[in-house]
Amino acid sequence: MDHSTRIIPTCCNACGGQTGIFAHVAGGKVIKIEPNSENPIGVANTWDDFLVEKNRGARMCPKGLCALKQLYDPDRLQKPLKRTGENCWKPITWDDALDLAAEKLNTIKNKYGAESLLWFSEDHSFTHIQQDFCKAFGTPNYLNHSNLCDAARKAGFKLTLGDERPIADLANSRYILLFGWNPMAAIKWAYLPAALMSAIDKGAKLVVVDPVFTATAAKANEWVPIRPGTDGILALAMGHVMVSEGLYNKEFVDNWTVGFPEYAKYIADKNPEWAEGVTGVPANTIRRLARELATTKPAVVDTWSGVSHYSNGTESTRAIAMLLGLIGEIDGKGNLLLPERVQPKHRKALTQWPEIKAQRIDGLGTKYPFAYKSGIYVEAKEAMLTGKPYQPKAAVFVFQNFVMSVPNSQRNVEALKKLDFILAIDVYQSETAAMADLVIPGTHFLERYDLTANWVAFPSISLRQPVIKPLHGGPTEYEFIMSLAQRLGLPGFDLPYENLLDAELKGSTGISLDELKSLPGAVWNDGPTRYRKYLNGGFATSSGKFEFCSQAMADKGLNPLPRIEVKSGKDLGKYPLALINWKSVEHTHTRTQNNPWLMEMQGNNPLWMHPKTAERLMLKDNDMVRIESATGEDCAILKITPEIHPDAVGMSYGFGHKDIGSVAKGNGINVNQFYEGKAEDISGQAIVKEAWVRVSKAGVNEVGQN
Amino acid sequence: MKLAKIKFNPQRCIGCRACEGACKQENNLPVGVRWRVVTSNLSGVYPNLKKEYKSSACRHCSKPKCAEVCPMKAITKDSKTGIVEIQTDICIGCRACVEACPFGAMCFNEQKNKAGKCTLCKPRLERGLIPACVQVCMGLAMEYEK
Repeated sequence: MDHSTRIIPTCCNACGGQTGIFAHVAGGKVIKIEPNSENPIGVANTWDDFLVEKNRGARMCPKGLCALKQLYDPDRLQKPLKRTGENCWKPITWDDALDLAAEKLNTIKNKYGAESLLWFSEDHSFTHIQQDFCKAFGTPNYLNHSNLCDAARKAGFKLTLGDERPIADLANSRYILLFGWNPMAAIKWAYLPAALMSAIDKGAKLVVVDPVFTATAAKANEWVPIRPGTDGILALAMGHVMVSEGLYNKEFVDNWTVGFPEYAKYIADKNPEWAEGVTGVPANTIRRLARELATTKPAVVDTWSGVSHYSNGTESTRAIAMLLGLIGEIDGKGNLLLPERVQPKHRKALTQWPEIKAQRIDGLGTKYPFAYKSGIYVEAKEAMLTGKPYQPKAAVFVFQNFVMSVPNSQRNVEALKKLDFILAIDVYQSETAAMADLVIPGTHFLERYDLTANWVAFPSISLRQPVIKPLHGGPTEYEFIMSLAQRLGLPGFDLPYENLLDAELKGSTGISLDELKSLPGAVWNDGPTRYRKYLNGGFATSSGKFEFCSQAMADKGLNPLPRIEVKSGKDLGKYPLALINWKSVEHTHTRTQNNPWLMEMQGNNPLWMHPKTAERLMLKDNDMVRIESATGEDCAILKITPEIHPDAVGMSYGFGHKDIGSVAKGNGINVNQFYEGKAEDISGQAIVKEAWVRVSKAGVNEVGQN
Repeated sequence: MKLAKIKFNPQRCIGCRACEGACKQENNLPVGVRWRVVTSNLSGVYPNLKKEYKSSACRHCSKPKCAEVCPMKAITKDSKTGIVEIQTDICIGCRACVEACPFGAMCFNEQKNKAGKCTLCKPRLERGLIPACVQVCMGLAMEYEK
């Protein structure tokens, strides 16, 4: 490193975890990314642990460490592209791109109404300016990634303990029970693995309930393989054991919960033998786990996508959360914490912006009463296809590969064909950008600004800042969107973006953007972590207490108690195996598969199958197999391993690109083609893990669609 | 004298490959050249499985086989630091060392026609930093000892 190297604090955005990093810049080139220990994301999620652990440095995952390969990827889009025919594109100037987008959007607005524009966004990048654009333009239809991620988890926890995103204090727990969550690989926050290892070092017991022997299960004291989509049943039976054996925390239940008598009555017949029949988990195991959980403190129970991506996602999450209500282990050290966060203050809608009278297109808050504000992707898609409740005419996709990432890819393509105008902003010519009329090159996270409210249990905001100018020489996405708004004559988009960030920061923390830049690591931290806040303020539910029985659900005509319906295939004779999928540590969704370093680590997604299942189907390791669901069929390489439940097969998510770039193309298959493309009833969560398939040996000449 | 080394604790390795990524970035290695590689070993009977991960690279052996076979004497072990080093300008790309390494840790860069491997991040050590892989290790499985 010579003296001309500048070291600039910023945040990663290789995934939504937003780990703090330092970018090393020399001669106008970023030469290295290193972890930033002033930012808690790579360190710890509670204040006391953060102060101690930061002295050991911070952690980073391979996606961030390989991110320079994406920054300098020769396949990145360079210029705005205008469609001139099928697969025909013409590079145009940024000015012409703005003119074209403005003209198309104006025409559609005048002819069909502003609400016929749907806007899809990633959920960690310049979302406020995109929401502002939608408001100023007059469309209620802003949707973002969270609907494909944790919308059902949010609803399940919000309805029970009043917080949409509780976070686990793993490091200080003695008993850790995880349902469908793999923090050692689906890392999200870089502090997670070290926190879990620290708890294990201190003698905590880790139990992982998952159909897959994950990296987390590999570190657990006990792996509990379970039939996919039945976790909530297991939780109800554990509740049955705790209540029938009097093991629950009576003090907490009496003082801080509502609906316990109804719950107790509801689970009276839901004994472990009943649950064994549904989940495949032995009744004795269920009894033992319930007793262990009830008698070891501090304890933490958490669940993520392995549970919530099913048609019973919200209800299963509620049933799991209720275990916490029974043991009274909430928001204390070593528990599931209800974090105090400070968000950058989003400006109020300007008076000049129209009042939006049109209803949302996707049933948010109506058909889906407890949907998160991220909207319902599959309903937006159905509206494109059916014209109901009204016909969308245009869509903007910002870092959203709709075709690949929304379940039922074939139908996604059909839906997009119904639109008059598609604008895609992306780093790559993604499968979605390939269907657009206008494609705008996006930035890499090292080329742009953002404010990030960190997912830790104390207020913390960090800065993402451009360490180099966008390589494509054009504006950033937010600058493009603001210029577009100006061309459309929309008020409120004339100040530099930095001024908006400055106001957002001052409005929430009192400090300026310049002050944040000069703080160590460009992070504002405001500890300490405060525990058991409910003792003073209650829970943020409608009753102010932890809810076993939800009046809010009853008010919407839903069952106030967690009613868990386990779906099985419509025709188990034809499609006998559950098809699941997972995120691997080397990749983020569908967006990292053109990174040669990450592809070197994991470059394919074979189908996993249990040896017993393979024996029955007379299949061998490395066979090319045909996978068929009611929705799609394709061929994949078979990997036979005991690391998966015999009733399930599965593969990692994000592969099977037909576009994006030369490295990604043709590797693995797209798992989303096998899913029907429905939303979960309560939260509108896209159901991205529930399908049934049959698997057979592929014919000699079949090599898959890729 | 105690020589510098990376202490690896398989109990804490989660197989995340952050060390691999850090190594690729620090040394700007092309695809196909992996100085550090994470592997795993599965054992046990379902559902009582056991999986152990291992992150491995050059072990900087006390009697390095690679150095023994190098016809150009391009590979030496530094008696002070214990680091086994390749003098790349002398290397003729014969790959004898690649064949000789019992651990498969010697890599070959086809573009440069040179052998290469973990240097224990010597340039970082000289600046008082720890090796890149150790710095980022997510499970805190690696420690730099000197």
